[in-house]
Amino acid sequence: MATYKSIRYSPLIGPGQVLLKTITASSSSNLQFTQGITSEYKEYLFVAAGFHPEESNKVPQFQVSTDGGSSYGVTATTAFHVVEHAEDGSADNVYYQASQDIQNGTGFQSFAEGTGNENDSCMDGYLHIYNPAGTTHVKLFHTSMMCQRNSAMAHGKASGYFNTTNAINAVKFQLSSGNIDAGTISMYGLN
Amino acid sequence: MAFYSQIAHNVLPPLMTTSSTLGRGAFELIKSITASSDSDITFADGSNGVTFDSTFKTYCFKFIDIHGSVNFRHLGFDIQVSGGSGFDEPKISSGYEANHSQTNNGTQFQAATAIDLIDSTNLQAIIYGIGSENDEAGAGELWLFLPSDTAKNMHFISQTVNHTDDDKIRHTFMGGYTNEPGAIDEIRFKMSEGNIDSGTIKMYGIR
Repeated sequence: MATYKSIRYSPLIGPGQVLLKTITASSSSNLQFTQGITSEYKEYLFVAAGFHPEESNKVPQFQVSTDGGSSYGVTATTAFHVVEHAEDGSADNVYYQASQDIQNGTGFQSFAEGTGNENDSCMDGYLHIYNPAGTTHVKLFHTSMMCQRNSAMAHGKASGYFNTTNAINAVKFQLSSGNIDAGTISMYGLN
Repeated sequence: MAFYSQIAHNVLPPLMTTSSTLGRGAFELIKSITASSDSDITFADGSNGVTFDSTFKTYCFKFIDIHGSVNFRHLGFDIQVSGGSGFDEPKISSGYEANHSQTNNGTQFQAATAIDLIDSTNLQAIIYGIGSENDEAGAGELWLFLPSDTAKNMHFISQTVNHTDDDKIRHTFMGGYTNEPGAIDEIRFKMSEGNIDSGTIKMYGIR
């Protein structure tokens, strides 16, 4: 009987999604993945679970690096829209959120609107990056992130491209300010 | 050293699929095809190692760096029921898009009426308006639900992103169904005009 640790996946049929690394926040200023983003996988998936800020209304963000994490600030153009609904039935909306997009800039891309710091509030969702190690095309990505704040849900969806043909080899997650109190981010490679 | 097919499942498989819907289904790579100036890429049950039948209830296709030979053309798909020909099954669909210009020509959030279908056998576009310059491409995913069910129409949803011909990021969501009873066992991807110059399409089965 094989155990999980001894599996070598068949090249034809096998789990398409391989867990590469999980980082757990503990009053962390940021979470960085600086190893393992290579040409081995053509798609990478980052899953955030229970992402909880120390301060209220701080925006979860990410950027990427082409130098292994020495610097973050690759030029991007992105779009961002939101679906929201309050517990009392108000704010039942879907709209484009221009304040959260990037137009040919090097700033951090928002995942969602500010997340509450109440004990039961948090953020969960994912980021897909396609072929980050490629050197021909721009680097396309999209995100989907749910957050809870002020007795309302907000589902933020960002998409964009990092306008570089250099390989991306690191990703950094942070809040607009303050620390990440708790939560995990897991990085998967998709065969 | 054990291979996956030999394993008795005494452990949980990977905890998630890649959609926003989380689950414990195995996400199994069935086939990966890389384009090289191809007029189309087809996945047909029983051909070239492809399983496209009731083995899986849900199928997911991934598109990575799709690049067309003609500017402002769309990657789309047609499907075919078992025993059919011509990839001419009708489809009904709708969708929407968010886009943002790299050159500060504004944003748009709108229905994707240019590529929706009304009981049409036309190509169902899912990546809209890919630019053909060297660094321009499209990516994303398409989900098919119960394609082998002969009692229900097959539903599909897609989410894609692309660098457009006019330097925008476009994020497109489409959903629809095929208005044709019968088990679907073939899908064909092609550009609305010209060839798929390069890129990879991966087919996954989700149990």
